Amino acid sequence: MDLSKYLELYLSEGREHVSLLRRGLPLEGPVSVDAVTDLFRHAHSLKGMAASMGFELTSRLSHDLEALLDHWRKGAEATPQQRAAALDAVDVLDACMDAVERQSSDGAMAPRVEASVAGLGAASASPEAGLPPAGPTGTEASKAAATVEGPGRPVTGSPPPAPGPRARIKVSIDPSCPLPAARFMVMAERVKAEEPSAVLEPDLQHIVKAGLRSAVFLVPPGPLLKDLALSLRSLPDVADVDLEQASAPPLRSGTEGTLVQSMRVSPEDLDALREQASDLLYHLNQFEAALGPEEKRRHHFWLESERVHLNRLFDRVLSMRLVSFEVLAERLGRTARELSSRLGKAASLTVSGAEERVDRGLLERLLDPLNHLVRNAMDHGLEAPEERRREGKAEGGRLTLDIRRESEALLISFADDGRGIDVEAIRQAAVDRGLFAPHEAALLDHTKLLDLLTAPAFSTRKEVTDVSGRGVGLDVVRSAVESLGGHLEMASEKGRGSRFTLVIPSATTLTRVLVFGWDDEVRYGIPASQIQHIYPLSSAPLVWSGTRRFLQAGEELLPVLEWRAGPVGRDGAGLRLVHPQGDRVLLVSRVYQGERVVIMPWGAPLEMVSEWMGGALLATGEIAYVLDGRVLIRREGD
Amino acid sequence: MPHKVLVVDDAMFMRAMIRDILVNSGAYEVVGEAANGQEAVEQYRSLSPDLVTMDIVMPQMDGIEATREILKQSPKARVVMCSALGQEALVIESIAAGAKDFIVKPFSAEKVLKVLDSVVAG
Repeated sequence: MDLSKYLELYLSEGREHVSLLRRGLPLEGPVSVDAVTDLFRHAHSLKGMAASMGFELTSRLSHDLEALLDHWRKGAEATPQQRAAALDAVDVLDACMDAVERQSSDGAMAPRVEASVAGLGAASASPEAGLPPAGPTGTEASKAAATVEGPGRPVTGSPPPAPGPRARIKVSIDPSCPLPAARFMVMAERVKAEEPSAVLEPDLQHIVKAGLRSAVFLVPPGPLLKDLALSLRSLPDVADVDLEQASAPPLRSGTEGTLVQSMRVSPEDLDALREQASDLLYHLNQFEAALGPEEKRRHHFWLESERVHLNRLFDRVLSMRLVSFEVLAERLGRTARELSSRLGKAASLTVSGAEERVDRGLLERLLDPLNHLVRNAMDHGLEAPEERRREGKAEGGRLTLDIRRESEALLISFADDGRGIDVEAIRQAAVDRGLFAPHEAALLDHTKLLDLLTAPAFSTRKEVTDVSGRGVGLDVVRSAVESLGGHLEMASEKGRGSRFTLVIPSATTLTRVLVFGWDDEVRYGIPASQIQHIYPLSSAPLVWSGTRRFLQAGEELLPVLEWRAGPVGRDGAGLRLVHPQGDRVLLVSRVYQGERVVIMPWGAPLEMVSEWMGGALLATGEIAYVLDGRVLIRREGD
Repeated sequence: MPHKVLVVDDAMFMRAMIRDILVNSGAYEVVGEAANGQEAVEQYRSLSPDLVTMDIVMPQMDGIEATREILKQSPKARVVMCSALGQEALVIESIAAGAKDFIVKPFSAEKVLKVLDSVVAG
């Protein structure tokens, strides 16, 4: 039989089991039976899958891991040695997956699998454990598997319908209704006022998520049912109301839906779908641009609702491509662990914000630079245990990875508490290398010196690496980040550690921008998230105080951002830009509209030197130049 | 007797448009206008209208905040939100805050009246 066509599925599903095993393994503390039962199931499934594919090594190691988990499940104490052996087994299983991915076979893994199997055996045979040697888990195992792998439990957020027969009122919303979920919510409020025990299925969250246009109210049958249906029919945007009286077994819509809770879709299919969605948007824009003003006005509603639907489609496709950072965090943890044992440096990686979801493509491109930083930190950043002791630090090094989103950017910050970077050594090296004359080098500040480390010619020199304790390949990290339209920020303190922050613009998704104009014909934009308010200048006067202009917004005086001092008349507006150091007002001649756009970064070097985020194609077919309000404010003093 | 309406929107243009739709129907009269949430709360207190049309995004106090404030003072108040396309989340938040219904820009007279009629009837 040709197994190759299953390979991809094996890998994706198998990796999921490995990853759930890793996440669930109890590293310390008491072992919960429920949790171990889950783990047991993952090892068991993996064993079966690997065996079906003919990956005997993977299957064998899963089997032994399963035996250990089975033992825990039955209440045996989990010794530290066993926990370590289990963790090692998971690492090796992960490597087996890698091997299969590369070579379609796990054959090359024989030595590591043997070692890991031996480790599990030794841990189990140790006197404190009293575990019988790993052997077939037999009927016990399959029984347990049957109980946990039984029919899927329905996973729904909605409360169970009240007992007793229920009638179903199916409501469909007019296709032209622009906000269907809000419409359902209004309706649900009305129905609840009449019949408090009514349940909307699927629930609102689901309706919002899936953009549904029909849903069912489950209500107890009664004489008033017809009236309720009638009054629903009279509501705005309601296209159709269908009343089904209760039948003996209570009906539940969505029961069929729980049979298949998720499906696998290939990334290529999603990419193609995304491309098509974006083509459709483009065509709509072209079509609209080709219409005359009169036609445009006449068909405005349909054009707009078309755009709403296409945007929704586009958003949905984009969100299907989103993956959480957990996968990446796990991989980095593995790198740290491997190096930790190889280099004899204890270290722990703490991750926060891993639930943040980003485009799969972006995640893949972040793997190498982050892996690089982890290696650097383990290799050069962290001191040897005895040196750390001398410095009065905990023996184990601390690595942290922090992921968060800040308005339009994704911030990925990696830090160690190692020896830090010796900037004076960099200064010296810069002189030695002839890059700067001594008097020039003396003027370089901390940031500039750190920046030097990412210059290709600089960082590859071995001497610098030794004195700075870091630097190898930082140019690679930097260029990887820049190729994503982002930049690398570095901070370091000698003796205290270093922090690297990858700032990635989230330009690959739709951003809402406010489109405005100045005294020329050009359209400009600013991300709507940066704008707190729009003040029409006709009602918010400008006042001078000393040499500064302020916009008077009620009681408040807001400083004007003097960035582009063109004449702005009474038709103009002040855009209040939010900033932690104090909000500023940007004066513009005209505000056009809000619009969702994809901001395309201008290529380097423009974006590095300017306050422009990039260009965006507007619905009208025009290009808008999109400004970054934060940069404008940051540079105000320059 | 026509229903008394307070129209809240920071854009005079929008207020004028809504006013025309309402007045032409013969079923409503506009008893007051407000250009931000703060004004809306004050006007509601002094005018006690039957209905409020409330823009969502406004300076000083936004429409959702104003709706909450009005309902705190008069739990029976009937507020209808005016939304732009693509503001579904805000509309949902408004309804959770107690707004009775919503209308979506660009307004069609027929749609607006249907929504308002159903709110005053309900």
